[in-house]
Amino acid sequence: MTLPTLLVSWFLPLLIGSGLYALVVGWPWRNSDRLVAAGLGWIVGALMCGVLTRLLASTDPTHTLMRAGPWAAAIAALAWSVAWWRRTPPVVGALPDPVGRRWWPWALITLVLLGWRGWLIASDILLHPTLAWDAWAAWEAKAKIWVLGGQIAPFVSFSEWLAHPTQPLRTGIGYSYPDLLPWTIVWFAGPVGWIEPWINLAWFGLWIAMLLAQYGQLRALGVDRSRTWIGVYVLGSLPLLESHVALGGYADLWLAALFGQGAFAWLRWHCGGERRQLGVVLAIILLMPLIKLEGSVWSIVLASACVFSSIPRWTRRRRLLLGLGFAIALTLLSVAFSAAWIAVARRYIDHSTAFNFSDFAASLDAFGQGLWGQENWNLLWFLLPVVLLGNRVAWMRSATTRRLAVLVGVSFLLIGGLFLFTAAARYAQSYSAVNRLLLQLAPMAVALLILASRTSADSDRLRER
Amino acid sequence: MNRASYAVASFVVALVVGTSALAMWAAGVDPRSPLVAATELTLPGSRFHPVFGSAATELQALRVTAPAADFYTLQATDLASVVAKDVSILRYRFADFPRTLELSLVFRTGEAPDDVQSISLPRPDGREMTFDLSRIPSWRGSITELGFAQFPTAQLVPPSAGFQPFVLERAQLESISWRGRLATLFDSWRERRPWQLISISAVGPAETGDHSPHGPRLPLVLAIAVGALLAFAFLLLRLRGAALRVLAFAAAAVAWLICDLSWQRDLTYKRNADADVWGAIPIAKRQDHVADERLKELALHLQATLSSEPDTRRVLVSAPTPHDVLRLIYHAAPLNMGVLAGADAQHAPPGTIVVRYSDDQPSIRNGRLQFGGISLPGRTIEQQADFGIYAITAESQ
Repeated sequence: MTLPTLLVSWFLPLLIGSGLYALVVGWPWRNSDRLVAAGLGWIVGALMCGVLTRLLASTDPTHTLMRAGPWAAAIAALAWSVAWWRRTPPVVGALPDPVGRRWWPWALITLVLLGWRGWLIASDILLHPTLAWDAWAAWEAKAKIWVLGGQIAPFVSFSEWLAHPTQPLRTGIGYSYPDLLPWTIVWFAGPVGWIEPWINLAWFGLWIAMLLAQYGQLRALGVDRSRTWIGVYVLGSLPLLESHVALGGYADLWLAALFGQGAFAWLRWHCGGERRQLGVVLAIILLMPLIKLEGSVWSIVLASACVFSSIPRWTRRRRLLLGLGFAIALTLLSVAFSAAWIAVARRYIDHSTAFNFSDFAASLDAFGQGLWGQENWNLLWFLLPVVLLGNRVAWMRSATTRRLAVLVGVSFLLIGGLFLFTAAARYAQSYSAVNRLLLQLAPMAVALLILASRTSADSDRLRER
Repeated sequence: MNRASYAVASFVVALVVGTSALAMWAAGVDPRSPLVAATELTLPGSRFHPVFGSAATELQALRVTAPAADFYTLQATDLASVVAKDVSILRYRFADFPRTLELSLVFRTGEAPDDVQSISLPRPDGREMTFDLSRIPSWRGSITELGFAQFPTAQLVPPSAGFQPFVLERAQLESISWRGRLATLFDSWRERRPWQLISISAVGPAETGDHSPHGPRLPLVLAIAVGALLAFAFLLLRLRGAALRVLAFAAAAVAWLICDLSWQRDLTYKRNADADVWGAIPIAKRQDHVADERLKELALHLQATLSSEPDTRRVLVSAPTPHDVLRLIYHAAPLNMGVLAGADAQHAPPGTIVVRYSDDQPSIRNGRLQFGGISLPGRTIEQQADFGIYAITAESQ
């Protein structure tokens, strides 16, 4: 490993992802768009490099940079060139800030606190090998086998694996899990070989990228700088989120980042009239099921939101029915094409026919403990309902905040329903999965807290522009 | 006193009373209990003797110098049938206690002399720690023996690298008091832990399901405190509108910062614990330095033994726990491995390798290997006390 190759493997995702972002939504004239392009671009770019690794380096995954790197660079150059060629003059100037409100103290506090935290987390990642269970049992297990085995071989069920002993097949507990994240891990392992601390540093990159994108999106949604910095600090300081960064190897943080960015893009498209943001939403809808099985559910939620919100106003009364119809159609299509999440859902539903009150009470208690009784979220889930209730008059006037509240509410209810009324209750009671699913809502929940905390005068600047 | 002064005074009084009541509720203080402990039983470190590991008295303390062969250390002392409910607050003080060890309290009761009870204790960090034993269901009857056990942090620290000498300075059992209960609350918030398996799913619980008894955690107490502050400001100071919003923001920000700094302290501890374990090892070698050292050794042995096998050779693993199976598969990558379980395993093709990692050797009868409920025709490649390597010789049915 050399430092330049390592830097290139980190820089290429930024180049390709931001280039694709610029191509889809237009030249990033504003600072907020540049930050979204950098943050969301790195996340999507890393996943794109994973795809290129699978396509171009599947027989030689130890040389990902040599095999997939030039293609990544070429796609990035092409995307940036086309974006430059198609650029139009900026129609909107800098976002206004309230006169006299000082934002730099908040920026300074955030940078000092999160900067120190960043050093702490990054140095910890480099100290320890992969520690978290599903990381070494599923996500990184696949990637390690591919890197050390010198081939990206398909993972199949145990019976299929045994039935074809001469074929280069693999098996494992995560055989049915999507492969995009393991491909991405292979990309990051390419220049360094299988050295876990270096590979897990990708989660630190994800943390930085997510915070950059969160800043850019909040600004683009019309939030003033002070509140935006606070929002970034609130998100960046969540203990469970930081645990996922420091321990590395899980898929939940990737999904959290994508779901949040998808929601913000949807708001900008629907409420802000930025038509090209729909491309970002669609890309994220496609990507999420490739990360983790529950990504399919979030894709359906986001797709339903798009369909529901794009139906003309005069059909408002029929929207619910149409939205339901769309969700049912999507579910039927998933059944028809044997989407993996259907099997998972069916398993939970099959095991949940008998309602058990004591089980429900235990799950409710564990669910509540995860939100308010433990130290996962600092004060996030205390403040959010209080702000939503206490400042309802102000935020109800904002279409953006109302829609985000509905999206967070629906997602929250889905998680609640899953862990309270299905066989997944045992994962709530053991705290093993319920908090990780709530983590996937964290960027949206923080954004909702920030948007809902605005006074009437600050609200919906986006709409007013 | 004018009306405004009266409002401020009542606000301050309400704040003091409210904070005290909140702290008492969180700590589980019974108002009828005395302010300080009425009964104390002090146990200097020198009173303890090593049960496992080596130790020597050092003035009033006990210096623990080496672990037993299984990396476990235990220091204990006999008690003259102390009544558990009379002394429910435990204070203990260690010096130089390494971040790589876990600490447990072990005790025996006169009612069940053959049962040794064990509970996990917060790690001492150079200061005296306090723990409320009244929350422990097994702390009842008469206590006849008390001790402290230490062992390398499970699933994090390589057992052979966990131990560093430390000093047991003293322990003290005392009756319930305001002071004792409040100290247990603040010490539970001060408790620091290295990374654990549960850390990826929940911050705070020490284990899956969070069975360790504890008081309310810091965020909940701070949230109630902020709520009370705002209620008092609304009712007594009659704050409304922007003034109330500013106070709410400031209170929430301070509470958030306190939570965050507490978490940052925890994160620093975790990082320092990791530095103690891996700091001196080159970065590329850190993944070889793992808590399951034996599994890692076995994995390397398997890779060497099976190095001439083709990539497609199926290898089935049998081990007592899913953790052992999955860790062995991970360590032994890129061997083409799966789990020896279920009916499908009966159809393993000839040539398949079976690896046993357990003390239970398979019975071999008429050329068939018996693994629990699974019977496979095979031969032994290598047989050791805690592992074996076998090959399936013909199509099994």
